[in-house]
Amino acid sequence: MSTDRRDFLKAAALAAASAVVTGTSRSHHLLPIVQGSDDASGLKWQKAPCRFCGTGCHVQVGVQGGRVVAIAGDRAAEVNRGLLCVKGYHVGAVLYGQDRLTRPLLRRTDGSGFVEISWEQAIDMIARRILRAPDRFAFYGSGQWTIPEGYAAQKFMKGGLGNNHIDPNARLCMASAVTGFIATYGVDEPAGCYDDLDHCDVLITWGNNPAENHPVLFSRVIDRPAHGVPLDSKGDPTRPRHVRVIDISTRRTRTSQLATDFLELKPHGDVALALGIMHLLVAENRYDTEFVEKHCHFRAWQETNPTLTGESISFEQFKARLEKYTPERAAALSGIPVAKIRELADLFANRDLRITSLWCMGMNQHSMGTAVNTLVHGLHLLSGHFGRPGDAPTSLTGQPSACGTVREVGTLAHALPGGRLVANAEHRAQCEQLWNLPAGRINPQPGYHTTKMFEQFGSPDGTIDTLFVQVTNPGQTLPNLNHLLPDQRKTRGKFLIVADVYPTATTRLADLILPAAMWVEKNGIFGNSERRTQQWFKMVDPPGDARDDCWMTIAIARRLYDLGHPGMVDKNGRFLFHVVDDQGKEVPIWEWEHYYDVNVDRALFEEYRKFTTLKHKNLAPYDEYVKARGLRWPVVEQPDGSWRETRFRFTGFDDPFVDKSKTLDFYHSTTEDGRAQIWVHDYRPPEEVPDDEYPLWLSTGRVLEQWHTGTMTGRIPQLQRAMPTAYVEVHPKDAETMNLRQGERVVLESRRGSITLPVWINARGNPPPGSVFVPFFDETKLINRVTLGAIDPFSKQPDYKKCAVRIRPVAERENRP
Amino acid sequence: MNAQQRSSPHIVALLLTGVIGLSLVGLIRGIRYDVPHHGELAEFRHNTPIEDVAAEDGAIPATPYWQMRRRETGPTSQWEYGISPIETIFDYRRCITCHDPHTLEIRPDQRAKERSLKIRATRRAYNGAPPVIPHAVEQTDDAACMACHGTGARIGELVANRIPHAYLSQCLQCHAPPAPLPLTHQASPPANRFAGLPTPFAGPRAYPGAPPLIPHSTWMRRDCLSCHGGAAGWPGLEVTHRWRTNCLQCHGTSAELEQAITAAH
Repeated sequence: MSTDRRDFLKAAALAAASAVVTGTSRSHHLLPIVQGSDDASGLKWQKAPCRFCGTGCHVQVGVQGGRVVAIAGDRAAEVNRGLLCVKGYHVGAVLYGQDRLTRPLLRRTDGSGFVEISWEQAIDMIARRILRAPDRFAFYGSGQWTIPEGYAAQKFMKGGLGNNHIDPNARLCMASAVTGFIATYGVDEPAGCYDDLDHCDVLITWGNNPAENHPVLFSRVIDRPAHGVPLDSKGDPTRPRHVRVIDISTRRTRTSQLATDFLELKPHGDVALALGIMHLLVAENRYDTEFVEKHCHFRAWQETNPTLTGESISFEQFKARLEKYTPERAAALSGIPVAKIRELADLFANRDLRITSLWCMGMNQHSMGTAVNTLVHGLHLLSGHFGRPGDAPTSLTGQPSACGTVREVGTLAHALPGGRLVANAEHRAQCEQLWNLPAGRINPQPGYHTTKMFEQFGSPDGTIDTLFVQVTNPGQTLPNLNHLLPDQRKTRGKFLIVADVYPTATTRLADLILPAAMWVEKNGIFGNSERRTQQWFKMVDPPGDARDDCWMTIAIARRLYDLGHPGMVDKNGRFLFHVVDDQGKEVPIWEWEHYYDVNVDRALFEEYRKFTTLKHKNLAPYDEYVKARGLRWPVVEQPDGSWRETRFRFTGFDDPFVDKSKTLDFYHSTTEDGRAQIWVHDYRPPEEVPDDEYPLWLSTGRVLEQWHTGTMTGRIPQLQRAMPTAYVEVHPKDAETMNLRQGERVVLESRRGSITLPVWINARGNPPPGSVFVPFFDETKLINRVTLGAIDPFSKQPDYKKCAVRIRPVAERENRP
Repeated sequence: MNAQQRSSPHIVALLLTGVIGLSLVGLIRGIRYDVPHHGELAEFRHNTPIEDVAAEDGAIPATPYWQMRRRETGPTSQWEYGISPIETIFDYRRCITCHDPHTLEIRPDQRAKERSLKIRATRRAYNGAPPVIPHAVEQTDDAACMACHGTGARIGELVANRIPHAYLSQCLQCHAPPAPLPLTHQASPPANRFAGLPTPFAGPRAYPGAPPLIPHSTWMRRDCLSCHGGAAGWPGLEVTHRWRTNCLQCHGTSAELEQAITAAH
C-alpha cells in the first residue's frame, strides 16, 4: 500500500471519527469507500489474545502495510468461538491514540515539565539509582505484564538484586482469590474451567457482573445455542434446558437484568449468606456425607495468630460454629429473605443439579476476602458440587495475565516462581539452583506488598526511594489515593519511574517516563482465568522510540552488570539474562538493535517452564503454544509426543496427576492426605458503615466499554463515545430526597477525599436506596480519592466496594470549569 | 326572520372553521409532542412519588407502571419530523414477496447505494466491525432493540436492518451506543490514528457480468437479505434476483476476509 493512500486513510478516519463523536456525521464518513478489487490485498491475519480482560478471548488481527487495520473474533478459539465484546472488536485502535508516548522523558529539576532524553541516559540513570541503594528500590508491575516480562522482573529483583520489593497491581484485584484457593486446596487457581459454563444447570454470580465485565463468558452461559452448545447436550431429556442464573449482588446490573433471580445483598452479606446455607445443609443433614467423608476436613482460624493453614476442627465443632447462622439470622445480616436462603440450600442439596459459582471483585475486594472465598469453596465441597463438569467454584480475573504472570510466575512480594514462597528455605534453594545462583542470593524476608510499598515510597522517612512502575496505573487505582500516593515531588529524594504507552494519572507524578511497546507491537504470552497459556507474535512496530518492557528490565540489569553490581551474574559469572542463538553464541539482547535477533520470549519461557512442575502446573514447550489457541495447564506430554491439556484438575477422569481409580485427589492438600479444607468463619461488619454524617454506601467498579483505568479504551473513539465519563448512580428515591436532577454535577465525599461527578438516575445499574455506585475508569474523576484503604488481613487486598460517603450540591465557585 | 336565516349558516361556518382549525393544530402538535428531542431528557427530573411497598412474604412486588423508568430511546440525528408510516417488511414466507410480477425487475439506484454506503461507513471502525448504534438506546433492554431490528423496519428514509446473525442476548455487548443521555454533554472525542480496513463499494468480478465476490466476511452475516433485501435492507444494495435463495452458490467468499487461517497462525 502506498504511503499516500495510507495517509489518506488516516486523515479520513480521523476526520470521520471526530465527526461521529460530535454527531455531525451527516456529511462525513468514517471509512473510505473503495472499489472491492484491492481493498483486502496484502491483508494478513494472525492470532493474539485480546489485550483487555482476564477472559482471554482470541482475536484475529488483520495487518496491512505494517498497521493493524481490522479485528475479528477467532472462530478457532475455544474461549470465545468467534465472538468478542465491544472492547475486543475495537482493540486494534488501542495502538493508535494520538498521544502515544514515544520518547523517554525526564522531569526538569525545577519540576516545570519534561525534557526528552535518550534511552542510554534513561537506563544509566535508573541503574545508578539502584546501585546507590539496591534495597531501597521497588518494582511495581501488573497482571498485564506478559509472562516473560514478569519472569524477567522477578529474576532481576529476587535473583539479581536479592530484593523482594516487587509486587503487582493484581494485589488490588485477586489476592483474596489466591489465599482462598491456597487455604482450601493447598494450591492456587481454579480446578474447573470455562467448560463448566456449558454444563452447569445453575449459575450463581456472587457480587459479580460478568454481563459487563466478562461479557463473552456470560454470553456463553445465557446464549448456549448461539455458541454451538445444543440445549440437550447430554442427550438426557431430564436435564434442564436453560441455565438458571442467580445473581447475588448489592446492586442491580445488566447481569441481574438477564438473570433468572436477583437477590439483593447487604454489604458483607455474602459471608452471612454462605454461612446460612451451610447451616441449613448441616442442621437438616442434607450435605453430601459421602463426599465430605472421603475428600474433606474442617478448618477454622486459630484463636491467636491465625494462618492460612488454620487449625483442624471436628465436624461437631464445625456444626456448633454454624449453629448461630440460622436462616433468620443469615437473613437479617445478608438482607436476603429466609425463603430465598432455603431455596438456595435446596439447590445445593440437590446433587442432580450442576452448580457453578462465579465471582470476581465483589468477593475479592472485600475486607473479609479470604474468608468469603473459602466459604464459597466450602459450600461447594460440603454439598458435593465439585469435580464434575458444571460443578465448580470459579473465580474470574480482570487482567489478561493476572493468572499467568502474577500467580504462576509469582511476581508478588512473598512469592517465587511456580507456586514457591520466599519464606521457604527449600523453595529458595530450588530457585537458586534453577537460576544457577550462589546459595543465599535470595533474601528470605518477604518484601513490601502493594499498599505497604506505596506507604514506604510516599512518606519522607519511608524506606523506598526509587520506584519503577510498569504496565499499570497506581495513580488511579490505589485506594485512598490522597494518603497512598501523594505528589512525591514534594518529598525530597524520591524518584518515580513509569513505563507506559500513554500519559496517565501516574505519569503525571513521574520523574522519568519510559515509552513502552504494547500488545502486538511485541511478542507476548498471557495466562487467562481458566489456566490457559496463550502466545502471540509481534506484528507491527511500536511508534517512535517505544520499546518492550522486558527489554527495559534486561537493559537495566545489563547496565548494573557493567557498573559491577555483583548480583547480575550467576555462579559461573554469566549475565543473568544469557540468551544464545542457534549456534550457541550469546546475543546481546540488552542492545535494542539485537533484541529481536532471537525470540527472547521463547528463551525466557523455556527457562521459566522448569519451575512449573513443583505444583503440577506443567507447561508445554513454547512451540506448542505457537500452534494452539492457548493450552490449559497442567499440559503433559503423551507417549505419542503430543501435549495434552487438562480441563478438570484433581479429578480422576481428567487430571494426569490423579490415579484413574480415584474420583478426586487434592494432591497439594495442606493436610497432605489428598483432602480439601472446609472452613468456617464468623461474620464481621464492614470496616466503615454509613452514619448520620456520611449516610450512603459507596461501591466502585467497571463498565462494559471502558477497561480498568480507561487509558487504552478512552483513546478509542467508539468506546469513549459510548461511555464518556464517570458518573454516580443514584436510586430515584435518594435523588428525590436529596433533590438531585438527572445529569447534574454533585460533590461526592468521604472522610478521605472528594470528587465532582454527574448524577445518573435509573442508570445502567441500579443501586438500592442508601447506596451509590461510581465506575473507576475516568482519570478526570478519581473515585479512589474517596475510597477506603481497609485491607484483608491475609491477602492484603483492599476493599473498594464499601465505604461511607455523602453527596452535596456543587457550590457556585466550584461549578466553574 | 330573513336576517336570522341568513346569519345562522355564517355562524355554523365560522364555528366549523374554528373547530377544524383547532383539531388540525392539535393533531400536528400531538404528533410532534410524542417525539422526544435530543437533550430533553437531560433536563428531566424524577419527581414521581415512590412509596415503599413492604413485601411481607419476601416476594418482590411488581413495579407499577407509574414507577417504571423513563425510556431513553429516541431518534437518530438523521431523523426529520414528518408523517410517514412504519412500513411492514416483506414476509418471505409468502410466495408473492419474491415472485410478485410488479417488482420482478429491480434496478438498484447507484446514487442511493453511494448514500447508503456513506451512512454505513460512519458506523464502523473497519470493514467487518460490528456497527455502532446511531441512536439513543435502552441501557438494559434487548427487547427494545428487537422491536425494530427483530423483523426489520423502515420509517421514511430510515432503515432498521433485521439482525443478520443468530440472536444473542445483550446487543450492547458488541454494538457501542452513543453516550447515555444524562452524560452526553460530557462527550469529547479522543484523537486516534487508527485507519480501518476500508469499506468496499462493490465486490470484485472476474469479468463483466460475472457474479461479484462477497467483499466482506460472512461471519455473523447469516442473513444476506437483512442488508440486501429491499425494504428492510439498504437502498441501492438490493439483490436484483430475489427468487434465488442460495446466495453462496454463485457469490464466492474471500479467503482473506473469512479468517481462512492455518492452525498455526
